[in-house]
Amino acid sequence: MAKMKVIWNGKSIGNQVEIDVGKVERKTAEQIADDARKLAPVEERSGFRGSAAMRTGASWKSWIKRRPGALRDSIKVVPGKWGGYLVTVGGHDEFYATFIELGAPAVPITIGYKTAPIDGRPFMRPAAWRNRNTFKRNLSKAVDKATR
Amino acid sequence: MRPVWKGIYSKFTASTSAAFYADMRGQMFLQQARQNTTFPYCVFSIVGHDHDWMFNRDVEDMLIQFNIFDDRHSSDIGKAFDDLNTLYDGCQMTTTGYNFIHMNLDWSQMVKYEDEITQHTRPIWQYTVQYHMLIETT
Repeated sequence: MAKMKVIWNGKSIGNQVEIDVGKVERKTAEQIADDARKLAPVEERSGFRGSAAMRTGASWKSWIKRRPGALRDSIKVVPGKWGGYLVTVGGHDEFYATFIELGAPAVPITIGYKTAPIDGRPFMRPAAWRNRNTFKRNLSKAVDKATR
Repeated sequence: MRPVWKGIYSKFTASTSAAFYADMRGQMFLQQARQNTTFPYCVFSIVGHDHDWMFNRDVEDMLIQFNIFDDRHSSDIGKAFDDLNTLYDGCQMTTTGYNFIHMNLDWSQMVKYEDEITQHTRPIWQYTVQYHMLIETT
C-alpha cells in the first residue's frame, strides 16, 4: 500500500499571519491617531495672558511657547517595545495632555491655562473606543486570508 | 444620555449614609466641578459612546469616567476608590427607557499633584476610574 504524505506548511502560514496581523495593527493605530487628531482640542490663540505673578518660573516659559494645534500635532504612532503599535500624545511642551484627557482638580494651576477647573476633553480614549470593533473585524479577516 | 447621568447620580444619592456618599461629603458633579469646590469631590462623565447592534437588540456601549479628588492622605482616596467600586462595579441601575445590562470596572489610575503646581496648601490626589457600561433600548 502506498504511503500518504501530508505536507504541513505551518511555519509559512504562521509567518504570513504575523505579517498580515502587523499590517492590521499599524493601520488601526494610524486610524486611531487620525481620529484623535480630529477630536483633540485646538486653542484659538497662542500663549496665555496671565497675571504678572504667574509669569515666573521655568514652567511659565514652556507654557508661553505653546501654539494652537501643538497638542494635536504631538499625536504619533510608534512601534511598541514588545510588538504592536502605540498611539502617543504629549511631550515636553505639551505636558498638559493628561490634564485634557483625564481632567484636573478645580483649583488654579500656577502654569496658567485658566483658573476655572479643567473639566477634561477626552480625545485619545474615544478614538481608540470607536475603532475597537473595526480592529476586531479586520484582524479576523487578516487571519482568515492568511490561513486560506 | 440623560438616563445614564440620572441613573449614576441617583445611585450616588440613593443612600446618604452610604460609604461613597460620605467619602465625597455629598459632592458629585457631571462633567465639571464648580471652581474652588472644597475637597473631596467626584466628577463623572461619559468619555466614549457607541451605538451597536447585537442580534435584534439595539445596545448603547459606553465608557464612564469618575474622577475622585482629595487633598487629604493617600489612604483616604484609596478608601474612596474602594467605596466607589462597591457602589458601581457590577451594580444594578435604573436607566429610564433602557434595560440596564452591566457596569464593570475597566481601568483606573492615581495621580498626585504637588502643591507648587496647584498653589493649593496640600498635594492633591486624583483617582481616575473608568467603567464599561452596556444598556439596551426597551
